[in-house]
Amino acid sequence: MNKVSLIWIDWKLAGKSLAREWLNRFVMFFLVGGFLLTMLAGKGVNRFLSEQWVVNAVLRLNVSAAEGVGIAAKARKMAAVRSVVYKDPEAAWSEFLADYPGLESLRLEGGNPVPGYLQIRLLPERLTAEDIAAVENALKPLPQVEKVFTGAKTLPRLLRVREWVNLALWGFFLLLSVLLFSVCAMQEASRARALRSDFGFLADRGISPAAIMTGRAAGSALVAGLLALPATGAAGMVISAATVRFPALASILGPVEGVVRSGAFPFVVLYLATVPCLIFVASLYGWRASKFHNPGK
Amino acid sequence: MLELFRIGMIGRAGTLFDGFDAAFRDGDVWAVTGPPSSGKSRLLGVLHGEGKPDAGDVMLDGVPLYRGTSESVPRFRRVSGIVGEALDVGTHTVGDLFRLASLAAGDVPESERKAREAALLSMVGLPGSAGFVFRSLSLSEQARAALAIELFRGPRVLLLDAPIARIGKEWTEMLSALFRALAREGRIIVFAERELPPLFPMKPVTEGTRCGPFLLTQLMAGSPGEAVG
Repeated sequence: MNKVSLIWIDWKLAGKSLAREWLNRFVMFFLVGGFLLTMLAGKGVNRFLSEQWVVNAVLRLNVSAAEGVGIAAKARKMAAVRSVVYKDPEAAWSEFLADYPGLESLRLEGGNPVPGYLQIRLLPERLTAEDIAAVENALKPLPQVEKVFTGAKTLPRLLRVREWVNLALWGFFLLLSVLLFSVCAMQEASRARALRSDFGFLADRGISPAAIMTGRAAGSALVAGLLALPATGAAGMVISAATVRFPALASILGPVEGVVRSGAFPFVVLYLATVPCLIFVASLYGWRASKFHNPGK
Repeated sequence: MLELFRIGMIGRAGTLFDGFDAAFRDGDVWAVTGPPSSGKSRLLGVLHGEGKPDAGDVMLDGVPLYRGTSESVPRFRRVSGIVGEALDVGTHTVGDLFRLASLAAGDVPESERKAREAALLSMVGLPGSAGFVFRSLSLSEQARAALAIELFRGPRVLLLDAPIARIGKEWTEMLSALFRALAREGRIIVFAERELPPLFPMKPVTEGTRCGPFLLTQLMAGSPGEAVG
């Protein structure tokens, strides 16, 4: 029996139960791969936080809309800035009335008393104390800017919480991966035990146990690689469809397609390369756990 | 040629034999006879690479079995077959075992496997038994099925432990005819029995060689008419 045949030995000996096992594994790859894509797309909770955390630069009352637009354009050019929304005095007045209805009389006495302002959101990975300070330092000296609200007092604590939450989420991913490995190792051990007499039969007829062990591990790794790719792709499509269907989700996760273009893509490739390696090791572990030994040696 | 070179084995009651030399040429049929616990099965096991002798080595075409590389035993087993006292096969059917034998033989195509399987089972008097669970067969049927399964790979060396006792004396004609046919193809057959039945169709070539507790006898591989009494 050649080495290529040994790669598919488990399929030949226990095809049906193996198909069920791989269906389970596809679901597991889907879940773990989906979680990884979610983490990479949302950069943990960074994207969610950067969406929620807004630096407001309040302009002076006499600043015209054209000047406001000009300042917004300059702010957009800053490296850490993701988006800038300029609210002119009229828009700001409308928001004010929506929040405090019944105060229309304030305007009767001397024009619009509410100034325009800029809403500045930072890039998820640039939401740091330094970058916020840089934005504040860039805007504060401008004569048109009255005040910059950064929330600097609570920011350090929030960033610490963010780091812990991110750590916990990556820890959860690691836990899922360990769980995936454990389940696969148990499946491999159980199958190796079930096929022990078959392997013994083959070993008695000259098929080296070491060749069987490495052949079936290589087969498992190959199938894992072939399944992890579509499972992760399917998870990506589901997440992408969900972000279209539920826009609120998009603000937390961002576009999953962005993962492919961003620097996070190597992590996906690393994951897809690690899965077959893990399954290979799980198969070897399963073989060892089955306590198969060649009576001839 | 299969050779035993200075083989020594120790049993529970002491040394079974020591310095035992033998040479089985291609086309030979040999019977190892002796009382229970005389080491016949152990000798077959040693010949099949299942247990290293306490001294000496087994050589096939001059290549040592036990003092060779790690690949020596698997390589030897690929060209040899053993019909032992028991076959640990779980709940497999006879057909499943042929499938395993086919895998061991290099994954024979299914149509060819089924044709050979049917022919071999008919030869041992078990036509249409491929679907039966091996363990559910009688001892004689199990032994015959095991023989057919072993023959599937066409081993160059065939080792059989108590085939006449297990298969039944009424099958001795079939066995001796099979041994002759295999010998004509140049295969080496070594089987162990407590004693050869008086009417066993294959006659000894010469007086047996006593080796410790058992007797090693070469049998005539020609037709019954050629046998010398």
